[in-house]
Amino acid sequence: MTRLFDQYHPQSDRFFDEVIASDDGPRAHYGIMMQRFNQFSAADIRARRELVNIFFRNQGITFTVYGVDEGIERIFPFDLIPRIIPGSEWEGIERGLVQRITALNLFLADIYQDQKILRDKVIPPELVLGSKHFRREFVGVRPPLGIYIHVTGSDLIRDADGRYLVLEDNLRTPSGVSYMLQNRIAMKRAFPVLFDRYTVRPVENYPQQLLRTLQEISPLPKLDPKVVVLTPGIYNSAYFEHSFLARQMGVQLTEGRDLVVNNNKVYTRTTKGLKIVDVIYRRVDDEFIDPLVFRPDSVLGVAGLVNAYRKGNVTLANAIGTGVADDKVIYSFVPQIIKYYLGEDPVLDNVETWLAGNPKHLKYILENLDKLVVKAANESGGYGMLVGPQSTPEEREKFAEKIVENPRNYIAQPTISLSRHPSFFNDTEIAPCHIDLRPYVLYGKSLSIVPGGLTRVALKRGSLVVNSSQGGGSKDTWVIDN
Amino acid sequence: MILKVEHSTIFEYEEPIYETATEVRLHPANGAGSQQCVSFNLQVTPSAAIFDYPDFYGNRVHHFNILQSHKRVQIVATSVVETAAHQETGPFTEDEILLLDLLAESRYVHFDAAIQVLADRFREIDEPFRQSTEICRYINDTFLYEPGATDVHSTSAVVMALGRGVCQDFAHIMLAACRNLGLPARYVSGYLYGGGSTPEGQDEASHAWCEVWCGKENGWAGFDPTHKTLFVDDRYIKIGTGRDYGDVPPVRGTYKGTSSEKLGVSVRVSSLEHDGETPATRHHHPA
Repeated sequence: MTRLFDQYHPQSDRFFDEVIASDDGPRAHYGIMMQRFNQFSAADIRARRELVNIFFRNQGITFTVYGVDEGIERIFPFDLIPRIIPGSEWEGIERGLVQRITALNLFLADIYQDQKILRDKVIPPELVLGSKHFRREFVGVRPPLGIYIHVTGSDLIRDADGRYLVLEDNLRTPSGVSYMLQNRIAMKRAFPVLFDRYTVRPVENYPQQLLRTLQEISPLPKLDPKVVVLTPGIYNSAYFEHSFLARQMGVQLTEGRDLVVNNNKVYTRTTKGLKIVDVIYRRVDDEFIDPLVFRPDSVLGVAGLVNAYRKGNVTLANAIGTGVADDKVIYSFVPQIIKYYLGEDPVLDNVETWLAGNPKHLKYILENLDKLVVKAANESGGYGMLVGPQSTPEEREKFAEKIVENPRNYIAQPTISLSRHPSFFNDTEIAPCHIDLRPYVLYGKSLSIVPGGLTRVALKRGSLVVNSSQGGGSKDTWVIDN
Repeated sequence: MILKVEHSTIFEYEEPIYETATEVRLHPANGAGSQQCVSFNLQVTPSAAIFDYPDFYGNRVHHFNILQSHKRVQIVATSVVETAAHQETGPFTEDEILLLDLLAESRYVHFDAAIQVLADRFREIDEPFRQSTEICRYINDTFLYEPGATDVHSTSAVVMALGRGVCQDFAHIMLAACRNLGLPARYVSGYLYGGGSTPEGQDEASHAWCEVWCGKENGWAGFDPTHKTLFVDDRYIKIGTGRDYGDVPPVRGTYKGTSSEKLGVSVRVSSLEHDGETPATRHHHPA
């Protein structure tokens, strides 16, 4: 019988392979995993695959893809081979994220209060003023505890040397944590023996930690503050997650129409009349959250919500206007932001970034479009980007026009050879696929990070895009004690 | 002058509506330049608790909501304002970040090709106040005042193409030209006391104009591209400022219900100094 890993070719000279080091031996922390998978027959794998599929289907774990005609609701592809991160390595990631999120929160507090960093010209003020997500409506408002970004998920990648880099920060309404939780359940069911061979740090208490974080930011200290989840509704790509988290926390899942503002306070409609709401975990974007202040045509929000928030009668998580700090142009200044507020060098580096708004950078970008990844400053989910090496000359020409038309809105980065991890692409064979990592950070009275997070994997062979909307899948992520 | 403003806004509906949420920017600016707001009173029918806050541009915003169903909402703002004919003297200071914010394009103020051509005419003038004055005069001479040619959501680019519009549109054009030349400029929402002297058809008590930052010596100078007099004097009552109309709409709100809305606005500005003078009264119905 051929063993699974016998046909695995990591090409470790070109890519950082998570499992196989360049001398062709497995990295120590993957030894047991490889051994175990090598014992499985094709039938063993199929049986486990089936088990996992049934689990996901029963749970109704789906996501919605925009821009395709066929059935838009899909099962999120799950890969059976877990990603393993040694505890010692995780420590560095954790330290880097605590530093980064702390600094980004201080940045937001500054931008929405005194704007010192702009006056000191550390960041050109017009970049902040010109950011689509800078909310003048929120200037001068001080949220409870001074915290703006209660739930974040920064995307980490590893370069050819295995160095962890931050690719982007998601400071608005990052999604995917429900997949992290479900992946763990699926994995424990399908591979109980393997799971027991490692000491895997638990992730299961995330919903309780989230609830505690939300309770901590209640405007008034209350024994049992009323927390609700606000979802745009069933047509949103992450609706499953919204309802899942509400259920796990034991709080009400609401849509805009379920809430009402009266005399600057927010209420939820119940069968027993209006009940006051203290904290809203909102998964509705700023633009849609209050038709009185933002888009007047929005039916997803609650009229008067921003005023109630400004008055301190309700807390939103995350705060209004946090997107200014994950704008991809502002991203390029995060090392300076960390230095400015904390006086420290970044633990986790950024990916090298060129700004089309800078004339010198623009020239470089246009001359090297075939080598670079170009992204719109304010888009997410892999939309509005050009992957140079995989583009046609026509696509590049079209994109160049868009960049020149609105340089402030574009950044470019080198095409990073993301690290790779063995992943199934059918029942019996594995191949190296590119992966990233989205750890989830909670910020209330203190900062806490779930060990691991969501590993996304580009299951289209050769693809570098791991976003679920663009054909990506995910893996369970194990942080293990050394 | 001591001027009294009575500003009434009435929303009417054929069928009952409910859950109204409304924000108004009707409080005259206080201590801004040479203007003092002596008194302000806001009345809402049906009655509602009224809250307020200062917005990013320092404007005083009032807001309220009405849960129960209703077919009519009336908002009456009554204020007494003291204005002075002469500007204070400098030096003036202003927040550097705010000045930068007032140099960029905004929702209704665009740097299209036509505005660049317009701005180029004045690029050589090296003194901000003279530059602004000439821009103001040019707009007043060139553009046609024509109510109904545009609506409240027309951008400066649309107005440039049409060559006509109302005070709001002229202000947007002047803002675009000034900002394009590197002069921080802001939109002013307010009232103009007509006193019976303004030619018929060119007067609305509700008015809009611009302020241009003319450096530390001159500070914010008011310009009115709609009227031949060009300069802002004690007939002008300022409510608030912003990047453009979008930052200082006098009244905006939302409601639930299927009925369509009918809006009636009446503004009356009168002098409390000269008894017997005819107050300027106009009714208009914005689209």
